Amino acid sequence: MEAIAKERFEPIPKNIQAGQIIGRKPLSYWQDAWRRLRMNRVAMASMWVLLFIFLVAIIGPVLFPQYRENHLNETLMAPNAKYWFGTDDLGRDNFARVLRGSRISLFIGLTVAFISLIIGVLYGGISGYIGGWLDSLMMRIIDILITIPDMIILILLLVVLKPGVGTLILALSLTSWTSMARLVRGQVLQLKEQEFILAARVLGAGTWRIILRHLIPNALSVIIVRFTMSIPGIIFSEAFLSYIGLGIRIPEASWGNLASQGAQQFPSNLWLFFIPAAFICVTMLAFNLFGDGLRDALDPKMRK
Amino acid sequence: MVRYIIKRFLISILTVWVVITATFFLMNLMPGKPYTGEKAIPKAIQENLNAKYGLDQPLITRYFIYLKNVSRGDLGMSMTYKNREVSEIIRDNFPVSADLGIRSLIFGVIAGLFLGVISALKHNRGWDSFSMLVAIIGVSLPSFIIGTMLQFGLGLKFSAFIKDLFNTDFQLFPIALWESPWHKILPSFALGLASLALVARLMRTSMLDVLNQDYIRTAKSKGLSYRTVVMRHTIRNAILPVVTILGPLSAAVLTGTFVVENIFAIPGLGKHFVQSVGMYDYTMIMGLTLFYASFLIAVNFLVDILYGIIDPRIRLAKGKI
Repeated sequence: MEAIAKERFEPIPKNIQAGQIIGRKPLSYWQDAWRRLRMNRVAMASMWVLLFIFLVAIIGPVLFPQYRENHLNETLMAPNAKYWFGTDDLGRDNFARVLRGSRISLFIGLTVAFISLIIGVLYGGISGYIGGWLDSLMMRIIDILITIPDMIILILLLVVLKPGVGTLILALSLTSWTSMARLVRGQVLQLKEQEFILAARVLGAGTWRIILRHLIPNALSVIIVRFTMSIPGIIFSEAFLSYIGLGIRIPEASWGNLASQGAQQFPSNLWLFFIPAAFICVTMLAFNLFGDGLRDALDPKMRK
Repeated sequence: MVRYIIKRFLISILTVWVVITATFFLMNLMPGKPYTGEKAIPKAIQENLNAKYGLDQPLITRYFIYLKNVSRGDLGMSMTYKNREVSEIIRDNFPVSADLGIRSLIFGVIAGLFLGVISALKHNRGWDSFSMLVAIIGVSLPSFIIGTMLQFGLGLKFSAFIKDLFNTDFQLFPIALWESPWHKILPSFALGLASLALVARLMRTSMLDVLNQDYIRTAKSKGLSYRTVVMRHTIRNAILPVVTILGPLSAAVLTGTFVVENIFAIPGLGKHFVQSVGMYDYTMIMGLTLFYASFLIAVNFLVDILYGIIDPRIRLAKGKI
């Protein structure tokens, strides 16, 4: 073997770290998800639409508070300069009513989704994490609840209880938490068998630390997507119930009862039906599209 | 398989019992009596009415009497329609609702499967975007809105246009009632659109999932024709998840009949249900709720069995599950 002359070796420069520098800033999971979401034009457009509707619902009723005022000499006017969305059969300003309706409908949608989220995460988390007979029992209860159609539970409850925003929130929460609970349970069951949970336990982490620091952050993306996707369904249920006369009662306004009131005028005075209907459809569409985009952005399996 | 069926059956029976009990006790919490109107009724007449409807008995006795009657199919007399039994009203009006429901379900499932399959096979191309646009619109348009829109657009404007054009009296899309096949187009479409959207989205996801499986590559590399790969290997496997949502779909269609029947003035059971709620007709609400719930529980049970039959993992499992 040929001997290698010493001169052929070249000393490495002292500064070894220079080669180890990571050129780009490291992205956290959420930064990465946000970057992907921003590239999705449909989802971003839906997000702006939703923000706009939220803004309308928050400040609209403050600027136009006269949603209950009757103007009996100005009934059923078509949209005009004074009444942008026309007036209803008692001469109430439809523009102010639609704004008020946006606030009520969105408030119900978000509150119910949030209550279902909390009940669902607790119920599903306990059921999945503890397991055993408790899990079986809790899941049988859900099995029975989901076999009874939601709309029938809702109608029964609303017939019995006094109609109003609070009642509607209670009734809708009672029927919509089950799907979140099943989702969370499934996630917990899948995650708790994985090695990193075992590793955490071996390192001495307690139950609460495992739940809070390991299980919930890992299931969070799926939970957020389900949360977003559940809101249009709740808005729909509210509109449906108000439409058949079981939800929000006049003179209070919601998109559902405005559409219902407008449909009674059908086929004349069409704006009374189509304006609130358009608000319902655009909001549901935006939530669905934004939810789809969010799922694509948060689901690492979609990453290419 | 037998154990699977027995287990499903027991859960169904238990659920029906829960519904009967819950309905009964909730109805007894309800404010107002069916005959409390504007006028005060003399006490003697009130007592007679209570005796006639059995409202003078203690609650628990009434509960057992109700259970016994229900098990014999006797749901009691309607309190607002004179001398009509609830079961009779169901018998007279449910066929119309069922007709509407089945039409829209068939339309929704078939058209939805078609759109889902097409968009998966033409993934990320024009057809795909088109189908998914239809699907997302279908998910976001509540049936009462699409119903009223169709009534106005096609029922009034377009039909009037056709009448003018051909100078006839023929109404192309009638906007109310349930008589000729022409009457059935708009309501079935309005009710079926949501099912169409759900089925299309689910079928697309499921097809894309199956198309990426190794056994599809195997089938292709064996030299099977495109048609065989799609029909026998892809669709057959991809359709399984669609079967599982037939239960929830039936529930959605059934509750949809409440508003669609009201919009199109269709003499079905959904219309009666909404009316009985407004009139505090205890026995009608109880009877119809029970009927709807049992009907859907039965549908779910059948769907579960159907799923067990077509999914070999359940069909062939011995003992377990």
